[in-house]
Amino acid sequence: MSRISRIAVAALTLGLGSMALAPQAEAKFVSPYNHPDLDWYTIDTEHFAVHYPVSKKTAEEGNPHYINAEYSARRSAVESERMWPLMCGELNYFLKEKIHVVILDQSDYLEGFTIPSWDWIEISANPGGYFYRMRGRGEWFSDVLIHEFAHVVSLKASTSIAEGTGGILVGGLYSDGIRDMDTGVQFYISSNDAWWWTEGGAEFWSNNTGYYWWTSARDQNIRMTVLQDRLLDYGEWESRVDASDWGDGERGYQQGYNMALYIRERFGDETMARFAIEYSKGWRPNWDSVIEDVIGIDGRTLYNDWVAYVTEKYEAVEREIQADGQVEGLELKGSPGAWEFKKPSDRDEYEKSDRNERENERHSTGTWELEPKFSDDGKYFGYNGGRIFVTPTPEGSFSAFAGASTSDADVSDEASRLSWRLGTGATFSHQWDFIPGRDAVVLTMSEDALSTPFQYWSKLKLEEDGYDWKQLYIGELTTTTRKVKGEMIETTDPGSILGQDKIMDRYTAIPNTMRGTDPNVSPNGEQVVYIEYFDGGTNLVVINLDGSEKTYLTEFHDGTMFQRPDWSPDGTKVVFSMFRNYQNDLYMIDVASKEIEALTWDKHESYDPHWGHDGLIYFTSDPDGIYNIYRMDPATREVEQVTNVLGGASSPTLTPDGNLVYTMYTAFGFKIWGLAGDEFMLRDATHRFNIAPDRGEVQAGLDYSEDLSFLESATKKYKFTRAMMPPTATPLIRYGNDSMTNWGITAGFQLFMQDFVEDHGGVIMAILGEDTTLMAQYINQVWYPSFFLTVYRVQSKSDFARAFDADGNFSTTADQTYFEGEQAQVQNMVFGGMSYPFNGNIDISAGASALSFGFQTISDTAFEPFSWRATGFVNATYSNISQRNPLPRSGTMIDLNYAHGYTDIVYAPYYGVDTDDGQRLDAYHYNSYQGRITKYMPVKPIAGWDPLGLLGLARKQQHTFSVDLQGGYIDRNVQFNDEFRAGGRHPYWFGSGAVQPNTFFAGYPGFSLSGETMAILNAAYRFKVKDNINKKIGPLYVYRIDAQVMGTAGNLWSYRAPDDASKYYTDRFGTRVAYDEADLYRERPFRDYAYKNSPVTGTGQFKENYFLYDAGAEVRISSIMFNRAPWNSFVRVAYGFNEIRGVGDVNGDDVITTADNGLGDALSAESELPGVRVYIGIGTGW
Amino acid sequence: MKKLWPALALTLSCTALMPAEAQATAWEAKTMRAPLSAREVERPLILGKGWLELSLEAQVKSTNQYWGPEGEKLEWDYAEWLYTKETLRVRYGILRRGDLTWELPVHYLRLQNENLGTDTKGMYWGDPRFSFTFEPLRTDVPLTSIVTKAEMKVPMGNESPGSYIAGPSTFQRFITTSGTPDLTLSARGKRQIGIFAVEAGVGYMYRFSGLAQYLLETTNNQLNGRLKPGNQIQLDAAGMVQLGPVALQGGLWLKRWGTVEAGTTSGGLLPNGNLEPIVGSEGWGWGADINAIGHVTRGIDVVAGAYIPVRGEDLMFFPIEDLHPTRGTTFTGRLEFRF
Repeated sequence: MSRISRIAVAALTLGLGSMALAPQAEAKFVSPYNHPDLDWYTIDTEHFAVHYPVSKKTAEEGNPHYINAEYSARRSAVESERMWPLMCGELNYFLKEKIHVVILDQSDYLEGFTIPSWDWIEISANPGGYFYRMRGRGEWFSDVLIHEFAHVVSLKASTSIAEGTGGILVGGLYSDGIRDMDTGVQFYISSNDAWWWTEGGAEFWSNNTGYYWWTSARDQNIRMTVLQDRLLDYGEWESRVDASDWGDGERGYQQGYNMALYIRERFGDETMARFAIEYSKGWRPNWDSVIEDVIGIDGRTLYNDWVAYVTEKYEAVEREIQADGQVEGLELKGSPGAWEFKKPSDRDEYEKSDRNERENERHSTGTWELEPKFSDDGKYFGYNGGRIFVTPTPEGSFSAFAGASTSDADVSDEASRLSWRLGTGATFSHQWDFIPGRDAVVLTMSEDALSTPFQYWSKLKLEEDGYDWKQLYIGELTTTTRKVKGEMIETTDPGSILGQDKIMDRYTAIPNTMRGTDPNVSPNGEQVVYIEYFDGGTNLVVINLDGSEKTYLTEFHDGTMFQRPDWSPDGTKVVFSMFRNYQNDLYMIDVASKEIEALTWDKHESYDPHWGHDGLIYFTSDPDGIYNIYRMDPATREVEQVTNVLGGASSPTLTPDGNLVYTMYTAFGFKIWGLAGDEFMLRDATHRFNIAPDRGEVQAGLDYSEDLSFLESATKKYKFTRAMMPPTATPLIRYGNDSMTNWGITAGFQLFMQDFVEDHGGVIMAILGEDTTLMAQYINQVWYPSFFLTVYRVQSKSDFARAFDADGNFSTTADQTYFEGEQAQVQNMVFGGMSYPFNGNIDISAGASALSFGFQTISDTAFEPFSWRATGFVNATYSNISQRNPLPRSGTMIDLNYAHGYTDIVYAPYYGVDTDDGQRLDAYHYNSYQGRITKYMPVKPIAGWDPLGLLGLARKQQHTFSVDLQGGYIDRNVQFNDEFRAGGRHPYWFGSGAVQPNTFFAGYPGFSLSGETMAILNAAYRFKVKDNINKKIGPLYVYRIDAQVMGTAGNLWSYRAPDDASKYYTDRFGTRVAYDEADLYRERPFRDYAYKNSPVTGTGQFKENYFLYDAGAEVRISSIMFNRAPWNSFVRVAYGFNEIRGVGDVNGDDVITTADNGLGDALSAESELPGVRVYIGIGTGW
Repeated sequence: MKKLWPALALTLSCTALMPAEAQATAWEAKTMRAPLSAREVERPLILGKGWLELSLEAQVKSTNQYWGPEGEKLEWDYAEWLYTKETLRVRYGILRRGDLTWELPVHYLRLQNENLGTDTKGMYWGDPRFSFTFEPLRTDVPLTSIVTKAEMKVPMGNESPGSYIAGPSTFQRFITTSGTPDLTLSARGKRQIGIFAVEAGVGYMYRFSGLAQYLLETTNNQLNGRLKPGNQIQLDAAGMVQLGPVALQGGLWLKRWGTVEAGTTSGGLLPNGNLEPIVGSEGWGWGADINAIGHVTRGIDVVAGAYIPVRGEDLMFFPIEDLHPTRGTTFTGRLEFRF
């Protein structure tokens, strides 16, 4: 019996491991949704293949989501070929292989990435709404392509590891059963070029090839980063750690770009390329040494030199501006920040505080605050902070305009009660507007934004077509009156989830505005001018608020990008910014005649125009390299400078009282500032702009579109067989002992291949050794659900010893003998099904599997089949967890699973039957139901209650409380292999979910607990110990330490053989078997002890375990290895309070005792005493 | 040779899978791929960055010869032993100076014994090997290539002889592994002189212990026993001449097998404390190795060769070739495809 126990443990282990092979619904890189409604085409050029989508059904045929990315693809093909010789020449690396560019046009969000070794670039045709704010120009295709192609060439030229593999995965887990310690180690040995070089280099080479220049947007990023002391430090500079804070991602790009320019200046034009060549000579554990080998000084010295250089440079700029007279007003929103001090000692105290705390305080007034404006009647103030925030706060309430410091407390109570937060994620960064004469706004939202109260509450809103385009909506500024603390008050908060319908009622979609963004309402409140996207470009459209009388003011189809249209006060004209034919300028258009007139015609980046009620056009421009607000008289074309800022000023709007609200760029985010009207700089700036361009030249520019039709002959229908990515294999070398004296070394590879639009993909894995895994998987992502089919075979050997006791009493040792043995097990499985992203939060999957299991010992000439099982399952997972730092701070995950299984025991020596829990089992059906809910809750003051200030402190330190409840029910007695299992698991084999939070009962041996009913509850309290550690130790960069304490309670209950001797017989192994299965006793959760894990005392009595408990603590260290691979480590200690027995080698000494209790199961007589179990993971993550 | 159909079938399958030039993107030559000479004499001892080599090899030894305890050359007149090894080898140039090799053998084995009237045969997995070769020194014209190599062998072959009820001679299945892992460290050098080249190598194999299903240990009431094969040392030297599209290679080798130990498992990571040496299980041997390498294209080579032991010794583990190579010439045929 113990042999089977042992085998069964292994079988289940392997089975669980295999679950990781099931594909996720989000199998595609960018979108979770497949699109069978699209055809794909390919443009073949000399060095590229560009793939693009076209809808099968046209708009005329009633397709509301008609796509045809032909222009985007042609433009990409032409741009790509133009940049090919330039970029290849930069690195003297002329590509033999074709690069495939996939154009995405299914969504309205910016995307652009490459995997150079796969020869793959993927970009969205639509750049979304904020690209130019970060990079400073509206040209999308050449900008994104040159950046990604720079990656392709530079990373191919520098790669020290051949492109057929991303790296080598080396690792192992040593389980010491006697010391109850599992130690896992893992290294992914891959390329390790520094982040600043990779991203900064891509920017730099884009510059060197003439595509980029050091724009004002990039300069403001580094200027403010330097002046506000937010440069990435040396470790961050090398290793990509976006977790630190706002803007670090973009900061890393521009910091690297600027460093590259500095290197070019100091060491010569080819120095950056020489880094690539030097690294390509051979892999080295620390890329940093390349710098020293090429330029003779180490990376840290180079970094310090550069910091000194940029500091001196930008401090000089600061002095210059201050001398010139800084004109910027005050930050408008919120209380004065903690960084504005009344006395030096306050500043000293502030400087002593944690860097992250300081940064968080400065972030607290927002990081992406754009488009501030007051309603025409001065009643409301609002801005786009990701959503549209509107508050009934008059201008005079802000200190920026009051001329004196006002207390926010005076207005905060009403403001908080009567504030609206409107929109969805699609609202981010787009212009919005108040509707004159109404308490309402027009804004950009996603087409699927609205839901019924039931859909909102249940999250059961099906995303049926895979599209969620942007669209214009009207949002009413409505309020409700409800009782709060016994008092009826007017508020915008509906007060309950069911009140959500009131929120939904606020919105009305404006018909016929699909893919429309950036609305601006005409002064009469009847029309909206907005930007409409199609195939890599935009046009200006005017439409009535009810969606009628849609008129295209422009009809470009050549990548033209519009920005911030704004009505003239008389409602006859619209001013806008337009990027076209590589030039960005301000224009105005007569709405009636559609005649376009250029207001500027120069190389400056002028954007964000706003036609003030004073008749002047306020806009952002950078004639001196810093974005400031200027204003132009459209009649005289005279220009005046309004602000003179150090950061960067944009999004200007004139308030009803004649003040200015605008967005200021800081190193802590885009902030809203206000400048009183009487403080405007009003310095003549007419001479700095070309305000009187040649009309013929302008018209020629408007009329010219590059003819790309010659690519028609190079266009063919996409065939996946001709567009397969190069296969990538990852060599795997693993160590996994199955006993303390067994060297379980295995090696092999995992091979991945798919086509470029990801319709068909496959994985092959072969790991050979004592434990052998052979696996092949095919994934089809052509139709709405993704289908997968997996075939695998897992074969393993295990060493063990068996203890025989002559009198069956293991407390006397003189009569015991031990036998060593080795056996092999095999598991074959076919696993197929489908997965479907029901919506953004819910994934569903269904499928079936067939599994056979057998084993082989010395006397077996072949694997003896033990059992086979067929299973059908349905699974649904809900998750709204997105933020991980390193574990989720908030959110809920719910996982529900139903399976129907059919098992047949076929083991010939047992005559095809097995006894389990008092029942003779041969072939049977069963139903299994499992559920799990995990909730993460950030610790913070409760409705403002925080008497000791501890909750506020906990919030600062990112304390998180989590609960995790797992339950399961199988509707009959089943063989051991089909039961639920629990016990500690190390994440090396079982993935990051294995030890977080703790519902596997880390205080008990792995898989030792089993039963047909399961209920386990875990609570954990996690907190940040330290962040911003930023220690670079060789190739390792350590940046954060977290800790958690946790405890678990629960149990697994099973069936028991009857106690009445007349109702059972004893089989040849001495176990009880019920005559009638109706006499089996099903243990009742919470009322019965679980006999399977209740040890037997010397007198034959059970130590009754009604519940099992454990408690533990854990420390987690977040780090990056080789500049790019997360290398997170942990130590977990868990104490199991109960003595248990269980299945197989419960006490972990590799010796299986054969005496049993005769109750009819597969239990050993071993027990595990209460004690500590230790889990160590070095680089194994979680 | 007629028993080599599995290798042939595999070869044909792989050939059928080879795509036509430029038909599928997946098989395009990449810029990062290192140059590779079309002539073996000019090739270094590593594959070169970015190259993938698939090779199919068949080895056959049909013999009625065996070694005596002191190296005597003996023969059976009643038995015939057919040993074959068909190997799929994947080699990838992962670094400019390093490659990874991974190989998976299968065996077809047959023993005909007229005395017993038995004809036992079967096909089994062998032991896979994986290795990393690093080239610390290289000059190109003329070629000098010195490599070091670390190789691991892991026991995946058949360990179970079947029922022992009627004694060991009634085994039903051949054992194709020692049941233990090996770690081999070796160094090799090659120097080209015009159309000639000389090559020499030295290697040391440490053999770990392991429980083996074929080993019954009764002294201490064991079910299976623990075995530690003797460590090995090997030296070899060869010369090569390139004659147009064919390279001819010939050389000598010398091997020393250490003493095998067996017993029960002790504690610790190297649990060998209870093992006892098996007297007479050590030995030495030498022989010759000749190969002809034909270049069909730069990407395809055909290799034919013979491995001829001149002296060996009875190491007491017949028919486990991993522990006890039998006497007889092993013929080798190999197809190499490079992408």
